[in-house]
Amino acid sequence: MEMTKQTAAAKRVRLPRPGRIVINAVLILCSLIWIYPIVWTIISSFKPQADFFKEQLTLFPATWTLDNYSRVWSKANFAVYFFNSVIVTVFSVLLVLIMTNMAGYVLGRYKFVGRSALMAIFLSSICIPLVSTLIPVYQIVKGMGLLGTRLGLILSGAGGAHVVFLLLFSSYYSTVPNELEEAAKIDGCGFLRTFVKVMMPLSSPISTTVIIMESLWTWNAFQLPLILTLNNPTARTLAVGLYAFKGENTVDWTGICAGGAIAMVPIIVVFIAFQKFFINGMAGAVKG
Amino acid sequence: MSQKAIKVKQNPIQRKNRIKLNLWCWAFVSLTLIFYLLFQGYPILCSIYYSLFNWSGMTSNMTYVGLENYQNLLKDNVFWGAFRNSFRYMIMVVPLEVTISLFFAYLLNDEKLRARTAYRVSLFVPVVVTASIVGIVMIFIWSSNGIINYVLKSLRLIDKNINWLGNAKYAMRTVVIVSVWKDMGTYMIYWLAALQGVPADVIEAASVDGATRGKTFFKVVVPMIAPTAGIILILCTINSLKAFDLIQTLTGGGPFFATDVIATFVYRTAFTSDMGLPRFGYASAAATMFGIVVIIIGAVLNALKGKLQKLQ
Amino acid sequence: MKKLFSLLLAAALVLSLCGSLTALADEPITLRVYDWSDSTLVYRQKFHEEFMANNPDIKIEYTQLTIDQFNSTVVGAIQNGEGPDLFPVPTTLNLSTAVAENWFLPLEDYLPQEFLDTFLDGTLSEGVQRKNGVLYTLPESGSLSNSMFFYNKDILAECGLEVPKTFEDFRAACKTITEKGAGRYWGLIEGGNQANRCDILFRALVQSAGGKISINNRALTVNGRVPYDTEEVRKAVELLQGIVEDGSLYPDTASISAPEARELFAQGKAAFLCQGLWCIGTWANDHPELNYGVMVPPKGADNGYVANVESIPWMGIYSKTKYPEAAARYLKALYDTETYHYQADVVKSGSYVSVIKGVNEANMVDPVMKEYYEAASQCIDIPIATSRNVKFYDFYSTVVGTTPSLASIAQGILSQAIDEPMDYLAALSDAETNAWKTACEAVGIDFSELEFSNWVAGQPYTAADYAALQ
Repeated sequence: MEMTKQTAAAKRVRLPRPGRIVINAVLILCSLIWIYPIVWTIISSFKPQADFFKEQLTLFPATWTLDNYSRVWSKANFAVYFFNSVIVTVFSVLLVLIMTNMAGYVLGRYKFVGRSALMAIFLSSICIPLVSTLIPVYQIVKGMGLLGTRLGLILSGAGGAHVVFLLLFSSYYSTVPNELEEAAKIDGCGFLRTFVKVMMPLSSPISTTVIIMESLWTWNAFQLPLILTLNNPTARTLAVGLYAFKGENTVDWTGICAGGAIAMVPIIVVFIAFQKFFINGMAGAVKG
Repeated sequence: MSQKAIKVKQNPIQRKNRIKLNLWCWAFVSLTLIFYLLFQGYPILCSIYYSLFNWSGMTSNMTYVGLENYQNLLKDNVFWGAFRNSFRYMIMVVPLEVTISLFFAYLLNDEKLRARTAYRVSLFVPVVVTASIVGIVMIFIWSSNGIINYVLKSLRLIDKNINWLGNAKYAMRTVVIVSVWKDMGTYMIYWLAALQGVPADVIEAASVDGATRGKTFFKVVVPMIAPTAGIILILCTINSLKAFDLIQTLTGGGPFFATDVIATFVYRTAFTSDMGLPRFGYASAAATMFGIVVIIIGAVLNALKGKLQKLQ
Repeated sequence: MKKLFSLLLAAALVLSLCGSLTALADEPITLRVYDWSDSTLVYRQKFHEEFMANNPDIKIEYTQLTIDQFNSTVVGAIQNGEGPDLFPVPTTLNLSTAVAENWFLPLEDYLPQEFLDTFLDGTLSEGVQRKNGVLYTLPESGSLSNSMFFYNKDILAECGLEVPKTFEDFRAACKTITEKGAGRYWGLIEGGNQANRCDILFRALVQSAGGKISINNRALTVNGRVPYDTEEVRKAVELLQGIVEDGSLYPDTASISAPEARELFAQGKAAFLCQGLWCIGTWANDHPELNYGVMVPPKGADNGYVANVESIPWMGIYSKTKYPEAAARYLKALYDTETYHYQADVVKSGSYVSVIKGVNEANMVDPVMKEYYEAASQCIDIPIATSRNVKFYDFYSTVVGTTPSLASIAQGILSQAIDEPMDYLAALSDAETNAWKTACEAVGIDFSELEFSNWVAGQPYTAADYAALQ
């Protein structure tokens, strides 16, 4: 696979220089616009509370401070909550990845009995905006006896919006040519082996998407982790800890910025680590 | 008729295989199905059940009222205002979101682009930031002495500072721009994933043929990503119709309901009240009713997706 | 695939093990306290440290939420028997409903009479903190009007203005200030994004114009009708519209919420702000240089007045708590003035007025707080429906409010989103009159009991007046 990728890259026709410059210029400009509010947030997290409003337009504050971070760090019970967040996120992602990949595979490739009914149910259910799934999910987790446990958080996190991934997987698998599967069958591969050895590796672009998006959702989830850990705050996640900066009557603006910056880092690391799988030609190389 | 005939003719081995295949398929969906039933299906049923009650959500006192909530909704101007706004919002957001994200994804799918990772990260970062933080930042950026007014004034596009989020005339458009900015990265990722299904050699072949980048894109790439494109379009549409977090933190549906969409209407009705108790049952009815309309639209879009698939 | 599954299974096992381990490790009992008292957070945390030092067998787990968050998350847990040990009555409910739901324990079983005697007279009253004579909750603070006007003394001096006393003076002052400020500062600022703040400001102005109108989310009628489109309401509308038209309203008012408005006022961006006592504590901390004063809202008529607010229930002990004794110890300490300083701290800092005897006299040192207290003492009582008939608590949990509400309309005026507010207000009065009639019928009260015929605007409504109605 490594080799085919290289040859594919070598064969690639380069764009003429001016085109490349224009594209880079457009991308630089857009990236700057896109990132400006975020940079503003991060820089605000180093400002003293009083300067937050005074220096609205200036990106570089007169005084830099780490106070906001130390305040957030202690208030959010960081060491414990961070660990919980990592555990919950990693296992929710794994769970979602496995189940939606498997289900997406059969929904995308086989016309089995009940398939269209399942698809219709999945599709229509994502259309209904729910007032709140909190209470029913709370009752279910309570029924399982998992209130206040990380396992409860993992299961409820994995139970979230995975229909989206299911659809992505199934539409992706539906585009894979039949020859591959048939070849595997001729080689004597059963259903499970065909999936694991041949089809699953092909789905890495969607898997990457799922890993990135599900990490993001689980990591930032606030309401469900809050209600599920009411009786055991030691199982809380970081997002719950970081939320306490916007109160009923007061707002700790710079604290929110610092909390946001802290919460952002792990997801950006995940993104950088996984986005590199989005390289044009990978799927093609495998097919070839 | 003919299908039946085939089935009758099937020999026992084929039949056994078919049953085996069905069992495998159901085994593969079972885990998802269990999770779905517990964490999605059950809450939906609950929601529909609540919609038949006069219930505050805060007390155990529930009165069965049948379809009264639905009947009252039909007469509720604020609900219909929110209903209209949801679709206005969708009509503005979806085309922008889908095309801009596809544009970036296509450009950033090029392994020859050196700063690819940096661009991708910059464009994706807003997705990572929670809505409450975006809300705080944007209120400053779009305020009457914020940077947007400063830039527009320098470019002589406006002559008076405008409070973009506080002005009923501009609030909706401002919210649309902010949400396109915020969510674009999500769809960029979806598109990037979809583009991985296009073999590099196909694009090369087209390039060698002397097709321009644009031509390659429309003639070669678009048909190949059509099935996933259909899904992305559906997801974007549904997400825009259910948009909540960002609108709630930016405007809370205001000023004077100018940006009030179904989700903000439902939230306000279910958890707050100016007088009396919140109306959880009524809010559930609003959500269900809206959901039914969206399902109809979803079905239409799905049919369109089927057509796109046939094109391929 | 198999590997993955076994990995997952192993992980699940390890996790459940972790869970049971943490469950074993809870040596001191954990008392979970939830509320939204963010204005006093610093003093509360200090109090918790002192409390835990004195009570090593108790660990306090204190969580702050907004009321909306509380309603959408914690209430569900309470109903499922898993609520926190101590929590306040959400502002959307009244005690009567909370007690009917069996949320709270009777406090007198756990709190001695000597302790309850330290509360100021009238602060543990029937209907508010008691139901059928049984005490269920304690009040957080003394109830003070939250619609006083703060003014920036420096700005007024710079513009050579006196404190405005009437609607006309106020509008003119705002205009002068805005013109003089030329983009540096404006006349009035509000947290216009928050409907409840707009509502409070608007009702205060109607009352200042001599209008008979209830306080926020309470019901009163005038001549058998909800009085939201009266002449006095029109005066208040005209004042607000005038200020908006003159451009003397801070330009971002419509999109900011109360905390931002408070901060911008402190930075000298506006001369006037209608807010509550809690601002004083925040400003003392963040902006000690702010030179400001407190005034009653400007008058729109000679019989204009400022109404007292109704006291509200606050914290009680959860009926299903495992540790009622510990929870009671917490409450006793929170109001204690010998070992602990919480009550003194909140008064000293200008956050609240205490409900404990002697605390205010000894600790009210902040001059602005005194000023606020004095201004607020000019407030008079207006009729309260539940004082006439406790059944009105049921009315409040039955009535279905109309949208757009008075709060939304006030918000619409401030954001210039509606041109003819009086039309909206007339429609609102009609709709609310019907809604209140329906609710009265449903709970079996005569609608006419919302009418207080012997009420004279601007005159305090007394116990004798209630008696005279019978």
